[in-house]
Amino acid sequence: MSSSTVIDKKIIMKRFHSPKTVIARFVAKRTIRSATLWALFFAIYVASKAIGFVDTYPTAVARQKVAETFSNNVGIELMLGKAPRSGNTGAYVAWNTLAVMVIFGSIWAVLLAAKYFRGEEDTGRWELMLAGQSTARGAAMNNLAGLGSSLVVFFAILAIAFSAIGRSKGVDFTTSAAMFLALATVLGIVMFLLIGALASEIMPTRGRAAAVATTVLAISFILKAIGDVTSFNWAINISPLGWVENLKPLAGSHLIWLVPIILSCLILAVFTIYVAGKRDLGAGIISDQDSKKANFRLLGSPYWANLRLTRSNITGWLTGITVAAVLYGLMTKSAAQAFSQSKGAKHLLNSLAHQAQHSTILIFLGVVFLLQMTIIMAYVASAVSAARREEAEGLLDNFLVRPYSRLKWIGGRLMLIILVALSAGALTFISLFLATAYQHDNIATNLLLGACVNALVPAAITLGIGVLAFGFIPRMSAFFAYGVIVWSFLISILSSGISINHWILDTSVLNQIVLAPAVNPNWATDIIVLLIAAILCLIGVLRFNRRDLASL
Amino acid sequence: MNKNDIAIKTTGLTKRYGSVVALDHLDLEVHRGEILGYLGPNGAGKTTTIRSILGLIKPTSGTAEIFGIDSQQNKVLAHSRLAYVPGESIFWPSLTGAETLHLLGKVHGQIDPKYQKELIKRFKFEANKKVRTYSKGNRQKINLIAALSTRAELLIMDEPTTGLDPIMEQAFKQSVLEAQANNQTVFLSSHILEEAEALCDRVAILRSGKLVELGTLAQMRHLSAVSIQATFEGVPPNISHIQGVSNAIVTGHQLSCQVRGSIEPLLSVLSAAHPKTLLSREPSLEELFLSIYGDGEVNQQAIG
Repeated sequence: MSSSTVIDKKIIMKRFHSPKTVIARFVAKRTIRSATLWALFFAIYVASKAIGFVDTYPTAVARQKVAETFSNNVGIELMLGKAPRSGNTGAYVAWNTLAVMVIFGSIWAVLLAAKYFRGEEDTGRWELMLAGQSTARGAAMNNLAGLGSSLVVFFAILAIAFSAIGRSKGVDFTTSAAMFLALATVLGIVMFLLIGALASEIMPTRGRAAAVATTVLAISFILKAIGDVTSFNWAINISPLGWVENLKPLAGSHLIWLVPIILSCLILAVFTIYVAGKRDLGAGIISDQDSKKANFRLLGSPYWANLRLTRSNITGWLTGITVAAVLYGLMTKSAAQAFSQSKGAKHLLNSLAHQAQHSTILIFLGVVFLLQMTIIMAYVASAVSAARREEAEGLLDNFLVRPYSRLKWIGGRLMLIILVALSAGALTFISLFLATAYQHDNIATNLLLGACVNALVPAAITLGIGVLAFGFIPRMSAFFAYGVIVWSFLISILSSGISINHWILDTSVLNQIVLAPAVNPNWATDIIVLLIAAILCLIGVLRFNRRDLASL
Repeated sequence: MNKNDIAIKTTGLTKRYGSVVALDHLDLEVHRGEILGYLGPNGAGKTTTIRSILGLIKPTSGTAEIFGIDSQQNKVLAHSRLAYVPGESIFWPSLTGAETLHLLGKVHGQIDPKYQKELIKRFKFEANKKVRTYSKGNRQKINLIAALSTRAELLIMDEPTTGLDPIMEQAFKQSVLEAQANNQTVFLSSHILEEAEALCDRVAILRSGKLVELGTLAQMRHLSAVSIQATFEGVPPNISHIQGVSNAIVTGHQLSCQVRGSIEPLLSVLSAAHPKTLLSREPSLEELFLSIYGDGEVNQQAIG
C-alpha cells in the first residue's frame, strides 16, 4: 500500500470582500424580502383606508360628523388612540392606520430580532459566524446593521407609497407629511426591534426573549390605551407606543416626541451591543433553569406531547382571538352608528359583506367575522407550518422509527388543529355574545352562532390546502397555507374599494363564504367547501403516508 | 433457515434520487443474534439503506424485511421488533433528558426500567437537565439509552458513537456485547473501523451504493493481501517478478511488500537471500477497507 502527498507550491487563495461586514450583509439579504412584503402590505392598507374614506365621506360635513362619532367611541379609541376632532383626511388616515401598522410591524420586528439575535445561537449556527473575523459585539453590530438596512428599504417603500397616496385625488397631503407618517411608523417598529434585540441578549432562549419583548409591547399598548380612554392621560407619555401616537403625523406633527423615541433607540442599541460582549455564547444575562424535576404529564403519546409542547402557543392564539372579539363586540354599536350616517360607508360594508340586506350592526359584525376568520386561518396555517418544521428538523423521526404510524401522527396533529379552531370559534361566539349583550345590541343568539360556524369554513379550506401541500410538496407547506390567507384577505380588502374581475374574486376563499350575520350563511356552499377541504386533507394525508420523509 | 432467524433481509433494494443511484440492488441478510458491521465512507449509501429498511423513505425497487415482516407494508409491526439509534440526535429542547426518555419509551411501548437506570448510570447521563443544555455526546446518550433499554430483538445503529468520548465508547461496546449475549441482533453502520473490528461477527462493505464485500473478518483477510517486511545484511533481492507480489518498496536493507495468493514463491526467494528478520502480518480492517476503496476513492463518494 502506498500513499503520496503532493504539495502545491503555488497556492492561490480566493479573497472575499469585507469579511468583517459579512454578517450584516447576510442578515440584510435574508430579511429584505419580508421587509418589502410588509411595507407593500402596509402601503395597500393605507391606500385602501385613504381612498375608502374619501369615497365614503365625500363632503366635509360627513367627515366632520364621522370624526365626532369616532371621538365618542371608547372601543375604537382604545385600539387606535385618540380620534382626530376634525374631519381632515390625512389626520383620519394616520389615526386609523398608524397604531395598527406599528403594532403588527413591532410583532414582526420582535420575532425577527429574536431570530437573528438568539435563534441563530440556539441552533448553533452563530458559533460559525463568531469563529470568523468577528467579536460578539462586532457580530451584534453587524446584526443591527443588517436589520437596519432592511428597515431602510421598508421606510423607502412606505415613504414613496404614502407620498403617492397623498397626491391622489381627494386625499391631499404633502410629501413631507407622508414621509413623516412613514418615519413615525418605522421608528415605532425600530424601537421594538431593539427591545427584541436587547431581550435576546438578556434572556437565555429565543422563545423567552420573544415572550419578554412581546410583553413589553403589550404593557406599552395597555399604558397607551389607559392614557387614551381614561383621565390618566400621563400614562400615554410613558408608553413607547404612546410616544409614536403623540407624534400625530398628518395632524399637527409634534416633532418633540421624536426625542424620547430616538433616545430610547440609541440607549437600546448601545445596551444590546454592550451586553453582547459581556455574556458567554449560548447563555443570557438571566440564566435558564437548566435542570428540573421531571414532569411526565402529557408525555404519554406524540399527540399529548404535541399539546404539551405547543400549549403556550395555543393559549396565545386563543387569547388573541378572544381579546379581538371582545374589543370588536364593544365597538359594534358605535361603529354601526357611524357607518349608518354615510351611504358610502354602507356601500363599503355591503361590498365586503356581499350585498347585505340587514341592519348596519349585522353588516359591521359580518366584517368583524371576516377579521376573526382571517385570524383563525392564520392559526391553522401556523400549525401546518409547525408540523412541517417538525418533519424538516428530524423531530418526527423520533416517533416514526418506533411502532407509531404516520397516519396516527398526522391524525393527532389534525385533530388538535381542528379542536383549537373549534375552540376559537366558540370563544369568538361567547366573547361577541357577551360584549354585544352588554351594549344592548339585541343580536339573536342563533345569528351569532351561525356566523361563528360559518367563520370556521375558510379555516377548514386553509387546512385542506396546507395538508395537501404537506403531502405533495412538503417544503412549500407554509407558503401555500399562508398564501391562501394573504391572497384571500388582499382580494377581499381590494374588492371592497375597487372593482375586480369575478374570476380573480373567485380565487379568494373568503369570497366564497358569505359574511354572516350580515347575510344568512349559505349552508349548502359551506358544506361543499367543507367537503372539498376534507377531500384535500385526505389526499394530503394519504400522500404523506406514502412519501419519503423530507428534511430541510 | 426460518424466517424468524433472519433479522433483516433486503432483496434488490434500490433507491434513486433522479439520475443518482444512492443504493443499487442491495441483497443482504442479517442473522438473528449476530452483530453485522455495515461499513462505507460518507455517502456510500449506509443511511439510505437504514432509512429504506425503516420505511422512512420508499425504495425505488426491491424489498426490505424485518423478521419476515415487510417494513414498507407493515411499518408499525416491523418497528415493534426493533430499536433505532440515529447518528444525529434531535430532540425537543424544552424537555429534560428524563422526560424525553419517558416519551420515547411510551411511544415504543415497552422498556426495561431497571436496565434503563443501569444504562443511565453507565453512560453517566444527567437526566434532569433540559435537552437544550446537552452537548452533542450527551444528546446521543439519549438515543442509545432509549434504544438499548427497549431490549428490542433488533438494534439498528447508524454511526451510534458520534460525539461520544473514548470512555463512553467503551460503555457503548459493553452494551452492544450485552445485547448480543441477550440474543439481540445488532446492525451497526459505522465508519469507525476499529469499533467494527472489535464488535462485529460479520462485515458488509458498501461502495457507491453497491455491496462489494460481505463476510467475517477472517474470510476477508484470506482474500486479501498479506503484508511482509524483511531486513537483510546486504541488498534485498529483486521480487518484482514473483506472481501476486505488489507494492514492493526497498529502503536501504529493508524490504516491504504485499502478496496475494500463495506465499511460497516469495518465501523461497527471501530465504535464499538470508533475511535477518522476517515479519508477516494479516491486514487490519482499515487496510482491507482501503484496499477495496483505494486511497483516492474514499473521499469521492457523492450520495447521502
